[in-house]
Amino acid sequence: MNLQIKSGDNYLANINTLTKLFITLFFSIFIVFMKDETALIFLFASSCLYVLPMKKYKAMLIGYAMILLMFISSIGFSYLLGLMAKRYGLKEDFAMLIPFLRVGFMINLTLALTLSSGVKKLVNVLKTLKFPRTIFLPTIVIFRFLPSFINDVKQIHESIKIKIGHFNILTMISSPRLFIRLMIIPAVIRALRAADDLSAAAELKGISGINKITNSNPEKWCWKDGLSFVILASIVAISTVLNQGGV
Amino acid sequence: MNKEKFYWETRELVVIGTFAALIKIVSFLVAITGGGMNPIAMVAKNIVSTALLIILVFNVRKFGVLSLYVLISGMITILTMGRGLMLLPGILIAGFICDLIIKFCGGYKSSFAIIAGVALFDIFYRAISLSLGYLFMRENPQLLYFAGITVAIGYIGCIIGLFTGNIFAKELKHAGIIKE
Amino acid sequence: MIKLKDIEYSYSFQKEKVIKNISLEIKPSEVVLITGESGCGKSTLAKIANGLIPHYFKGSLLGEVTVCGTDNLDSTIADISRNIGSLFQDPEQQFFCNDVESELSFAHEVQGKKIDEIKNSVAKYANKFEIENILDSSIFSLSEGEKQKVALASILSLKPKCLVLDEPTANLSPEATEQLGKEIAILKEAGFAIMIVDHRLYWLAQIADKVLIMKNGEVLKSGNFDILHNSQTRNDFGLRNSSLSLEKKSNSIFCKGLEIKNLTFAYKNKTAIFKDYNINFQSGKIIALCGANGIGKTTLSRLITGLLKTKKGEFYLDGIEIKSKNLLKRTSLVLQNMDHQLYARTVADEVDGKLELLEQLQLAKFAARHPQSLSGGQKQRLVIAAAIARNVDIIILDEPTSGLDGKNMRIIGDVLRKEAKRNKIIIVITHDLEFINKCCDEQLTIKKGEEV
Repeated sequence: MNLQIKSGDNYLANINTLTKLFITLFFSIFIVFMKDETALIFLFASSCLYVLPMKKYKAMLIGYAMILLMFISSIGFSYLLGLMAKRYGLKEDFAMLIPFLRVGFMINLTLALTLSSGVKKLVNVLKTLKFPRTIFLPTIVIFRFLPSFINDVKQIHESIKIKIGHFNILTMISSPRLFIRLMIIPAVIRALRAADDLSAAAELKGISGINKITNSNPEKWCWKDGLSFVILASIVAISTVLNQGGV
Repeated sequence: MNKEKFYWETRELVVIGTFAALIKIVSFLVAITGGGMNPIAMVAKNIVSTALLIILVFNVRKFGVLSLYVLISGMITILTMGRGLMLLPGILIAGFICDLIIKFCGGYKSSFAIIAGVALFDIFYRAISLSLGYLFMRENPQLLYFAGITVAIGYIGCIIGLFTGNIFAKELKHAGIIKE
Repeated sequence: MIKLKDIEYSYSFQKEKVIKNISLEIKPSEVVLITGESGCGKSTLAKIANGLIPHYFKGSLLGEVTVCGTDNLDSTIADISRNIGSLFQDPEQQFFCNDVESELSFAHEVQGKKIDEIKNSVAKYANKFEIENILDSSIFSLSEGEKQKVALASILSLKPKCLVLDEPTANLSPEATEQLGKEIAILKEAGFAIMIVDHRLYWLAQIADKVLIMKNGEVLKSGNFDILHNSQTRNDFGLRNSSLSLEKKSNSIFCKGLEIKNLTFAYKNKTAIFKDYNINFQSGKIIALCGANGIGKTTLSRLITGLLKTKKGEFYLDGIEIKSKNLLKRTSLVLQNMDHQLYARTVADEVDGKLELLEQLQLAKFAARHPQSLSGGQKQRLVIAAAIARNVDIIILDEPTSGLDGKNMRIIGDVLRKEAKRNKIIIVITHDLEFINKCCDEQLTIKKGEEV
């Protein structure tokens, strides 16, 4: 079963993963300092242009649906607070939308990074950045463990169905003990056994004796990376100006 | 012949990586199965994640385990989603403080010290996340109250998770999977 | 090349010695087979040879272990692994990367080799093992035979001089086993010292130079492969057959049991695996369900169990139609991975307190133990006991004998026979030709584009 995140055949897949990672990390900090609605709308629109050509509309829709859910919860909660105390009531100005613009902007950047960089490229980033064994080894284990664990969970779910005939959200709520015994304990045991197997495999590959690793498949830098940095700088400059008071 | 000795053994690093993945995926699956943002799902998610964290510390009884777990978990969020860079320093310090607490409250052989350390870590983690949440939501404080209540409900799950984790650990010892 | 002298070993969590006073030498171009009942210590011996003991599994090791003249105790596992390659029962367990190309490069990257050197090595061994077309594939999408090839290519690319193979054929089809035999013969010619630990013996008749038979941590009998042809020896040590006679099972005319008519099924966005397919399973018989990998055996078992929903098709049990959604109540399915199927706190709880079942499967003495504390063979028997304890009409077992010794295989065969006599339908999906010969009454083979 192939559960890897595969990089799609799109323009973002040709940009170096380190470039995309830098862009996303930089903006995750930059966005916090943006408070002007025009600047935030500009950033959000730019991020839409960044992610839209990937044509991953379903993933985008799920992301936006989550924002909408948060927005509705927030309005509902504000209304409830307003009923209890007037000073907490529903705000009707644009400020209420600002946090959602920030979240939406970050969702777009995250989607662009995640959906355009396969597991192989992300692991290569670890190798390229020459992280020490203490960080590199557990992080690469996560990428190796997740697909096989998702497969394990599916099999555990099947085994439960065979054993007790049905298993759904109602079982989880009505019999939490049963849920823990049937689902969580086997999952933990599988994880611990997988950890044992993986560490023995790592030892036999000679990982106990090293502190650095070569990347045999380094990603090349190309003009698109340079262009990405130019666009990044322009967006930062424009949004800083739009942010009126400056950053 | 390479005979360099490292503080962390390969098995310990692999277990920390495995649990960082396990906690993320199981919490996510429980939250999704439970229907997302509702109190029951939030409590269930936190029971599971705290219980798994307890098992991790029972499994890797070494100073620094919480700090390294936090670092690896943060690294994976940064790598896969490009987020969490601002959260990382704070929770790393929280992890280190809780490692110190475990060390000075009886050490990693004491179940009480482990439970106390993880309980405090859960509080610190949530407090830091909320503070950072403020930066994102400052224009709409209602959202922050909402987040605060969500976190508080979640923490009830953490408290239950501390004891659930201890029960899990006992069963895993009985099964010979966690060695005394 | 591999030399073990006066070896004694006990694990750190138990006092009893699992290896007692074993000496052994494997020279270049020599293949030594180590066999014996489950739990006799043969896998432990393999771990001592490849350095996992005592560098990874702690414990008390006495004696001297040298690989290519270097004492294992004075070396790290990284150094030992340069001289000795290890292949496990389930190659997926020893993969550290998610795709084939990364897996082939990883050990070289760890050694800090130059990029060109790594790329050349990957290309050379991918070509040698004919796996160039799967270099980009996820390791999770490979067949067992392909996994075995990738694991071997990865090990051999490091240019070791010795090999340790621990139950390498347990998950392989007869064709893949034959292929592995050929590859090992080539390596032997090339001068490798090879230690093979296995229950399946027949495939090594032309390859093994020496055979060691172990029991309770000791080597009690040794000699050339001919010692395994003695049926008394095989019975005494609970071994499987040393040769394989391929019997053609004749299928009886169907009168009572499970009838499947017009079965149509396809996975989402895939071509149909079954189209208007008809198949019958006679009750009171043990039926082997065979066919090439990926042909749909496991899919069929999931359809019979009701875990997968059919697009079209009718199921009749003893002539009465049952709806697909009701199949789950009438069927037990034993999957290959035992850890997923054990939930209870004790072995007795796992079979709802039916101790006679534990007795039949020789598990009664473990009744109070935690199921997860049992060995692989014991767990395999326990999940079968749990399936039988449900007292359903149809029991399906997916590769129930992989990695089992002769004694345990016969125990499972006997229990299934008893269930069949109670008019149950027993379907065994298996590649194990010996099990089919000894324990099954009929054999149904799913073939592409054909009916059974």
